[in-house]
Amino acid sequence: MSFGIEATNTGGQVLISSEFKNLHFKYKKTSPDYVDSNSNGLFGGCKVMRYRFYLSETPVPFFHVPSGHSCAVTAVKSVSTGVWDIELVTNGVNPEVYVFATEAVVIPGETHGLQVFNSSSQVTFDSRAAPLLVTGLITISQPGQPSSSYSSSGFEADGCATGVGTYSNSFTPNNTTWYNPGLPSKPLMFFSSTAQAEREVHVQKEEDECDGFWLKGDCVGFRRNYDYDSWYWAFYRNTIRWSGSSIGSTWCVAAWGCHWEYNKDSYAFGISNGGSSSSGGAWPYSNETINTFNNTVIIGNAAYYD
Amino acid sequence: MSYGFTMWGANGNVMYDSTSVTWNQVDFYVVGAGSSNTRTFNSLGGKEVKVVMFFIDPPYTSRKATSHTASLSNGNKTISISGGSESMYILVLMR
Repeated sequence: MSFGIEATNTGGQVLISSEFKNLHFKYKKTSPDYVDSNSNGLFGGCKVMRYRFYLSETPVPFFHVPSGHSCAVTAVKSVSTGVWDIELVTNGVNPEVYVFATEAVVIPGETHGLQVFNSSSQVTFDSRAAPLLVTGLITISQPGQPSSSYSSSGFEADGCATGVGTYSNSFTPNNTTWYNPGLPSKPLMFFSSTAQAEREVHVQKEEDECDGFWLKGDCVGFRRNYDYDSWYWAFYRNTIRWSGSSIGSTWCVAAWGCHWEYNKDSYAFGISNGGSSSSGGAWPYSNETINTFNNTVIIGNAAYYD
Repeated sequence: MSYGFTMWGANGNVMYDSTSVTWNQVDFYVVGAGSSNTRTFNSLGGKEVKVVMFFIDPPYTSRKATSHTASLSNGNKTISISGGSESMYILVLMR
């Protein structure tokens, strides 16, 4: 850098730069503009929510949730010019979403401070505009399994007949990997979820009908063999939660569904004479975990911006 | 604090001081589905750099949504993004 200002701390970390812009607090929202009502109360209370922000530049979203509840930013989308939707997955609560951006908007009444400009006369730092203050940073990975066990007990094999209200608890995530970075009393967290997992429970049933009689396991007459398969699945996104001074990496269900197949084979006196099959439902992939590279969690103090 | 700087607000509250840690935004851009992108910022040499990615509109149920991967090279000055099946926002931070 041949001109300008660069303030660093004793660790060599850049605090203020006239070349790159600091992030400044813009505003926060405490309730979503959209909630996926279909997921209400299922899978441990996981819900997909969207918060809409009106901002002239790309928002950098942080969030706060009460202790014990998990959350993650799962998508950021430009709806139209200056309109942004931030999608989060959370369980049981409405996160408080704090948005930061490079533009500095001075807090009303703040008349003292320091401004730094770049060579284009744009403000890169303004101490009156609540610059982002970071209290910690950790890199996390994900628990290998969202839930410690998946049981097929109680699932119907025939045509995905079991209702989601009956089976959702079987997919409720219960594994967490903990880290201890130290936290303020009201932690503010930045976490963009990229890791995803699909887990499924496969149930199968076979039935035989014989118009005639069975002789040593074979049908003497007309036989029909029915094969039913259902794959009940849940789609997880990596989320984080906090307790005391620790942050946990865990999972939350963002979507679910069921895929089924049906096959019928017919025989006359042991000789095949046709059959039929059908299927329905869709699923993203089978029993895989993807995008599992380590993710960054940036930690701040939400109380500073309230 | 025996050295460094402190900035106070109008009410005497500390707004910022040199014990604070922060991140500066270097760039925020989109890399499309199936695309790759390489950018070099010479002034990032020797700095700590973080690359964070956000999905823009990932599908949940119809197919596998793979994330781009990010790599740093050239003394943290060059950021390479590639390999994902979805469009993503790329946020580059430094300190």
